[in-house]
Amino acid sequence: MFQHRNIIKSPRDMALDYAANQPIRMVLEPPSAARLVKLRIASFVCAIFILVAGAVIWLWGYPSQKNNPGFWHVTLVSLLFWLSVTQGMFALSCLTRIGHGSWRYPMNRLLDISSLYGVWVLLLLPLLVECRHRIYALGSSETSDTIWRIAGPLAWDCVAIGTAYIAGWALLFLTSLPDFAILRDRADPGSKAHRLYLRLSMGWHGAEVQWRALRRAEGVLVVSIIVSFVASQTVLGWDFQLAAARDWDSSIFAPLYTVGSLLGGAALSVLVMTAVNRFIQAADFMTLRQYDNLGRVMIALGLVWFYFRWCDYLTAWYGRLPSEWAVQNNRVTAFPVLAVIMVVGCFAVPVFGNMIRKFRTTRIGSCAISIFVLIGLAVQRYLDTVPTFAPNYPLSALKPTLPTLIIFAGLAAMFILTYLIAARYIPIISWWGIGKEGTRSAERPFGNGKVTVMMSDPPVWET
Amino acid sequence: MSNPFNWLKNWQTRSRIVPSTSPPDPAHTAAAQINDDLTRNVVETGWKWWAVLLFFAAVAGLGVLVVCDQFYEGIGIFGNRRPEYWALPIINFVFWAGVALSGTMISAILRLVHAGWRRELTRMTETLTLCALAVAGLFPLQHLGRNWVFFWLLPYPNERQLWPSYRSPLLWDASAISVYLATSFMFWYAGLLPDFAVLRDRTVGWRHQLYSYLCLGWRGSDKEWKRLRALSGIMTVLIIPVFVSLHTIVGWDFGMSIVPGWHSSIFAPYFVCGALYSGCGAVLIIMCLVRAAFHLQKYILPKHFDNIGKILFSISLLWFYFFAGDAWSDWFTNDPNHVAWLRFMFTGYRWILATIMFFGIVVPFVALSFQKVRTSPWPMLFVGLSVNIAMYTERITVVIPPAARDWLTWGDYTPTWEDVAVSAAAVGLFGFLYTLLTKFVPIVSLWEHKEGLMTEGEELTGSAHLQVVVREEAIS
Repeated sequence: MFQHRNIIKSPRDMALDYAANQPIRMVLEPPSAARLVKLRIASFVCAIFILVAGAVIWLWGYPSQKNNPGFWHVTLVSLLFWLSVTQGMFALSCLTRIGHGSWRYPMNRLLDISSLYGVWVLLLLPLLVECRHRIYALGSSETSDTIWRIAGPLAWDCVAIGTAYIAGWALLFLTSLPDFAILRDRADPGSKAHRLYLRLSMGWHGAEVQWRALRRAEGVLVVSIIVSFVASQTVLGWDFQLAAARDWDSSIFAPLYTVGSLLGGAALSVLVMTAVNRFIQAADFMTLRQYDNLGRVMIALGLVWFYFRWCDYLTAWYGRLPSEWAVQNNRVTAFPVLAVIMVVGCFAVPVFGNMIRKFRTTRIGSCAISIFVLIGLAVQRYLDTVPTFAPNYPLSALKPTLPTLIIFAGLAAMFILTYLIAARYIPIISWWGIGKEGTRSAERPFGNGKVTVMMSDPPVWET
Repeated sequence: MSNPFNWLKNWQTRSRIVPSTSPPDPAHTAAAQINDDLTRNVVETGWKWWAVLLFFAAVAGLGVLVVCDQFYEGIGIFGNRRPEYWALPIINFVFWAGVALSGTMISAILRLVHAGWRRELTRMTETLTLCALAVAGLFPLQHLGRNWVFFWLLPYPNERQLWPSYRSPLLWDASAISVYLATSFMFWYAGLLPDFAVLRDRTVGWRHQLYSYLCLGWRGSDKEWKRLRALSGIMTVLIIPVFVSLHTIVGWDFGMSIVPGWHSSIFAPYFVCGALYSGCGAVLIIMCLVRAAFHLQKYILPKHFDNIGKILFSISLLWFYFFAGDAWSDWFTNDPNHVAWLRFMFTGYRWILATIMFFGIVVPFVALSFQKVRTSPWPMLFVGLSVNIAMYTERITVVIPPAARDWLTWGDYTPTWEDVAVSAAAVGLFGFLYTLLTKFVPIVSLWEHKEGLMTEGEELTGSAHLQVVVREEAIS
């Protein structure tokens, strides 16, 4: 199923490599009639979902749901879930850059595009807050009317989430410059595409000084994104947990959220990689290495997730402080099925499933594992937030309902539509990344077998 | 033009036995030179080694005298007073357990991620683990009071059918330390077998006898290497949960109580992280000292310091994240007990906190930001010392202030000279054990170093020679 790509030794090899140029052709050449129909249908369906979800929020949600805590909490949990996993995707992309993993090149762009989802999120957040601003009052009567105060969690959320996404966009744009330049050079002079990429490429002509500047900027942005990613997940963890359950001091919550976000990011990356690989039929960009390594990443993150979760639970169980134990116990006794799904999805499946090499290195196996992980994480977000937020409401008021599920589906449709739109204008796989990967590693015959040799890859800031 | 991959083709040739009639093979000569360099610390004994050993023995001996005094006078000779029952012995225990943690962890995790540069460091870090753990294990015993009945900690059959309380942190510690010590020893010993065989073949007399026993008949057959690789792989995976569990349990000693300042769900990962931090600092110190003492400049390179420096930098950020997160959540929840504890710590212990911040955050953050510092052994020694000063001080803030609350008032703690002497003796004992072991084991693994050389080479690309490495998965 998986093929190893040919070694690329020169720019000429790169220019002649049919597969490597597929993402460039996808942008410049019009799709076939059949594919165009498929794309239009997919976009239309996504748009319908988004519009219905928007209508539910705007027309049905407010003001009739003003006093329904379940509706708003589940809706916010949905938003937070998508926000976490998309941030996890481009944070993972940055972490692979920092760790100079040579397997990262084909997937970096793909993962970075997830930052564009932030456009939707930043538009949605004020809408939701406006509809139910008291959710950010966090039980403190003094703050309920001044939601924009500087010390309020809303301000932290906006700053942290916004910084992470804006840094993500900057990284996506800057690392796309060489590809925009290729598009500019290959587009028909005078055409719309030529004019567009002439502007977007910002005069890129591949000089050494430009490459140096690009690498330096990439290094700075990668570090900034990781810092802002950790900050935003930490803030989300804090404002949705520490503040929500008064008298409960679970300091592990911020790292638990951060690790969960990375785990979800890895799982969603597998799904996106597989979908894109299927869509770009001519090229097998995502090889065994990407699936294998993402599987290993999920094993590590699943173990850390369980470790944090277990510490959280055990501290409350052993201490038996009434307020603390009530919150922990409520999750397990009131939602036993969901608690099991959470542990299976976030721990058992990613760890034990990925330990089996056959699952980890096949598309079906790794996609199945990833879907379980995403379900587990969504349930975790629900369990950690909703019952804790509104302990005095009956369970029936907190259960996800059809409108909340529609909103969740609308957010998923936004994610898909983001990729559909982005793929129209940006090479979805980095052209120069593919070239770089090809020049860096190759298989060499040795005796009866083959060994993979690779060049040692210095960190981004030293290249 | 010569084939750039000749180095790879020579791989098999290098591992064959070269007939004595053939001209000297450069690779074989290089291997002999490596054997000479890396076994020198075992086969040659100078006066400096004796001087260092006796110095450490004298410092450790001071601690032995104090403990003998404790047998006679009782635990009252130490500064532990109500409500400070744990105090310096447990601070020392937590600190040395942390130092012990990183040795095997660095070795195991770097093996797991196939980091090629680990090969020269694994042996010295694993030895560090064994020595530090031996020191750490003594402190819970010292702290017992009636030390001579320490075996009551163990679940042995007895006539009254008494069993240790499984809820007691003492039992947890005893189990965790013994499991970690046993697995670390096996991990260390398995990796030593090929080197013991080299020593067997290069020594005479009692040393030859000793290494003949120790190498367990190793002769380097293909089957033996395969078994060693399999064992090493299994141990690598198994030892990681063991090391995490050790410091998790140490963290739970505190975190499972309901004492403000201790009762925190983040304590276990925070302790693991803190242990990694102090352990990496200790690794830097050991690297620098061993490199200078045994003239290993050809083997322990600036890149090793650089990489450990980067790891230390990441851990310092993570440690600060956990530290700040814990304090922040205590403050944010506004629980009166937690706030009272915070106020107590930030007033009475502000200078200790400032010391932690300076040595644990400011110094490493500033120093490790510069590549020139990271690649210089002696500055890195000071970074390692700085980190360990910070972490020892941090252990003080973990153990002393939360326990100082007597519910009616706040207690106070002043260590006696015996406390200080035992703490100093711990350093002496560690130095003594480490110095002694360098006389019996090659402190840089011979076979791993040679293996590393065979997987590296240069490839001509354009007009430049670029460094390439064979991916380690291809070997295993």
